[in-house]
Amino acid sequence: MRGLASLAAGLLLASSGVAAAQSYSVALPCKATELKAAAAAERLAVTCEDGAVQIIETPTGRVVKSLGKTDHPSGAGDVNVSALSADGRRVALGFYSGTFAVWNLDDPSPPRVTKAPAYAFNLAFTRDGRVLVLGERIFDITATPRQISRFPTDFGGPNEVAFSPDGALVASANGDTTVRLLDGRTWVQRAEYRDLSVEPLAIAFVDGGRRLLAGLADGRLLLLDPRTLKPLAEAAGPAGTFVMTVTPAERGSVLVRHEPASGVGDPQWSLFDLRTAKLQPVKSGGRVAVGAVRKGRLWFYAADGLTLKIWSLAPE
Amino acid sequence: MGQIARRDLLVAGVGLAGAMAPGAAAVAELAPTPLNDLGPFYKRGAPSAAVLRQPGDPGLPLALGGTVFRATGERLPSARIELWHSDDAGAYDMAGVRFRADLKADDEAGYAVATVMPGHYPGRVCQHVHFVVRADGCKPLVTQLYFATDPVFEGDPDRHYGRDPLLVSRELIRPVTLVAKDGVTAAHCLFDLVLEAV
Repeated sequence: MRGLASLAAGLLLASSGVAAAQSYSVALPCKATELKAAAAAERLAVTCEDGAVQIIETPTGRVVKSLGKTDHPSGAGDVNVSALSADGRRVALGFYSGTFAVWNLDDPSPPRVTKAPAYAFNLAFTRDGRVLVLGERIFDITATPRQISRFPTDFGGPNEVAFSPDGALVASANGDTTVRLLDGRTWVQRAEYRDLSVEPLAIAFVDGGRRLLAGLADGRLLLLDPRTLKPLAEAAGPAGTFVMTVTPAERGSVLVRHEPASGVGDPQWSLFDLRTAKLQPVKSGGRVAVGAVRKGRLWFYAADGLTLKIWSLAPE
Repeated sequence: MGQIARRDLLVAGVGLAGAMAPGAAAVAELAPTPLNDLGPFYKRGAPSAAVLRQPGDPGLPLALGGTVFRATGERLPSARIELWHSDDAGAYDMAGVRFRADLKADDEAGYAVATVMPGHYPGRVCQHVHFVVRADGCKPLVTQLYFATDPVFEGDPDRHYGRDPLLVSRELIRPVTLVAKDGVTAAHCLFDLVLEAV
């Protein structure tokens, strides 16, 4: 089975210019609608068709925690967003009611539940897992969650936030079309970039934190100095798309996911070369997929029914 | 306000403005318009023209407008209203500025546009128009307008508005009146906007 999976993945990727270095498949506990990867642990958060969220280990597929609807806080409604801490030991779920809950996966205790004024699609742990961001609100979650600050915004709030590798800086890609830089300890704004006419939807510190990459609602990628937010380079994306995610990969590249603005069709995945500012298409193998770097290598996780296909990409 | 007469919108309903004439001595407190998601297709630099529909544009003509208030009841003639929506086919213009407007309220705090009914598209359940409204002394309002005539509601928005997970308040669904004039049938929709004071 593993051999066949590897062969199939190799053939799938042969035409894309990259060679599959290693690939295999494991069973999924449910039919997935979304996958999220922990930044520094071999764990995925799998959002299921029925609204449950399952945390699994890769590459074994072992279910670490199952959060069905009966595990969700009473009256919270449906899940609209999930996040895994970098170490994979905590999971946060945000609900359309504005409630969010944080589970410690090493602890069978009930989650810490907090009611926020409104739901948001941006949910993220800081790298040390001590703080959680929901929309524009910043919560200390070391004990009972309490709001400690807010992201500055003209309106709309952050679409995504990113944390520098050393935790000293926080960048936000905002609905008011700005990119802002905050001090990672005081949450005070240090800089802002206001020359965009469209929303930046995705953002990440790349190249070991030496640069900041923003993905825009018109498909473009914008490389910025992470201290001053001065633009360094720009690249156009596929026509008629917007950038959904940017994930630092290896060898000076970034994994980029473009979605069709029409809502019709599969996402387009690419590797963005930070030196040349060029995009090289990569086949992902599915609509429900995520990439993550494990032990210095970029891995792809793609859900195909009740099977999770996993493979690494090695540029030729 | 260009070629749209706000009086034409009165056929869509009296709205808050009808009950609160300009210069009235007493003003009543109003419930702020519920918030709703902004993006992802907001774009700066929309034109200030109020006529968004061009000859030949497919779709049901839509006359949309209302009055902007502070929650304490005062009209806000200084309000800035940005609105945008998809075309009849459900596509947003990200390359240009079609179906986008950046308007200043008139002396009576009113706004109005002549456009088309937005279409449905994958990823969103209901037809909608996005708004960002700002005025001195008020918190910015980010919201969306939905239409009671949307087939998704099957004629009963009270019962079926939960079909769109992003539609968290029934108050954002407004009635639509069809008006025939000079051989053209258009939808009329009144959407007053109430901003919270800072």
